Amino acid sequence: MALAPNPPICLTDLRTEFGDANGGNVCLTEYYAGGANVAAGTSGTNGAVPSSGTVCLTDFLGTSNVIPVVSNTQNYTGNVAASFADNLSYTGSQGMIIVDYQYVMRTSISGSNYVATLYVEETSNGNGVYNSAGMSTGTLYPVQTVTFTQGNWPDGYALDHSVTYSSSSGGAYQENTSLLAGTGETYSSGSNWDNTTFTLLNPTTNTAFKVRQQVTGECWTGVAEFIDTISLKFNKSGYPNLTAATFNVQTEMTFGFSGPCF
Amino acid sequence: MDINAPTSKNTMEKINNKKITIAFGPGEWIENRTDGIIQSIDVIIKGWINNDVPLVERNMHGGGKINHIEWGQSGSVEESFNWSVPEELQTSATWHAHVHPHDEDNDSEYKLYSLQWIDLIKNTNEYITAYNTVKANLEAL
Repeated sequence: MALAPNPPICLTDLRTEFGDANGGNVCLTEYYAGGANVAAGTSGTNGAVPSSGTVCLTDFLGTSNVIPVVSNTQNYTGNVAASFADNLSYTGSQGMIIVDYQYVMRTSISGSNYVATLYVEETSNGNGVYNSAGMSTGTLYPVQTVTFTQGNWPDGYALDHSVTYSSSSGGAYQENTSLLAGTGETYSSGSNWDNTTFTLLNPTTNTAFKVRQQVTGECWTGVAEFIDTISLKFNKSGYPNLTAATFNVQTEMTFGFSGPCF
Repeated sequence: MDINAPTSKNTMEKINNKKITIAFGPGEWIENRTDGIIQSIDVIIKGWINNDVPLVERNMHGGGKINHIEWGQSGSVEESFNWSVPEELQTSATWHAHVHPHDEDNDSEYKLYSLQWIDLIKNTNEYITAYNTVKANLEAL
């Protein structure tokens, strides 16, 4: 919650809003922007909080430790935002499964507010499940909805990706995760979009981000699983970055080899 | 053609930094057999982060190369538990370990059973607990 835009203001207000990383007595110089407690670039009613030199309590009027949101809602139930699966029975030594899916960031208007909603989308392969029901290819399923006032609309956002790969090992198989240019929406992410900061465009626009999971196996019978972890982050001048959500998407591939292994 | 979305030069600190690899299958586990019939499996879940995973390059039979996990190596983090094979899923078939020539009848039977074992194992509380422990320990490295 932002500090009041007008006096009075006291040191304990700063400690409540920004914390006290070093403990002990609260000292105003512990609250320089870019210091232990206050993010670089933080600003309020009277402009930017100084990063050195003279600092006054009134420099903190109207400042906040987070980008203010109207609401931040998780839209899915369960442990994963969505799951995808495919299986392959193969002969002739080599087999390959590719599963693609997309995230779509949509900006929209709700009353006087702006809304950023991240969706997951099944594309041409991989049977998707969302909230325990099958997905339809091309339909957008909401993962996280973040609503801002127009004045607090962030400057940008990023999807911060990592992957956990697990398998029933014991074979010749190789996994690969690619972050590709999304397709079919107003804008595309371009490739290798991990943690790239995109401009959060005013409503209404859609931007697509594609994930490709691929496993190649040779005479391999087993199960491979990818867990993509995504953090949805926003930035806005004068505020620390906001991590609105972190969620997982699962992809499972089952290989069944039969016949001679040449 | 899709238009590339506009980007900003303002970077945000990356918070999801690790690629995690976890393996637990026939190349890692120990099969406990009586008179050749499998009775139980000591499931060993092994994990690595980033480039620590032991890989081996193999020439594929049909051409090209593949880099796969070298089975039987130690994990950076490991958890294990014993899983009893249900009577109806016990077999004398054995994992081929990619030794040539393959015994196709044996491989076919082992495939039939091992996919069912894997499915059952992944749904046990022991697996879920051990998997989550391995993942948490890897994330803490």
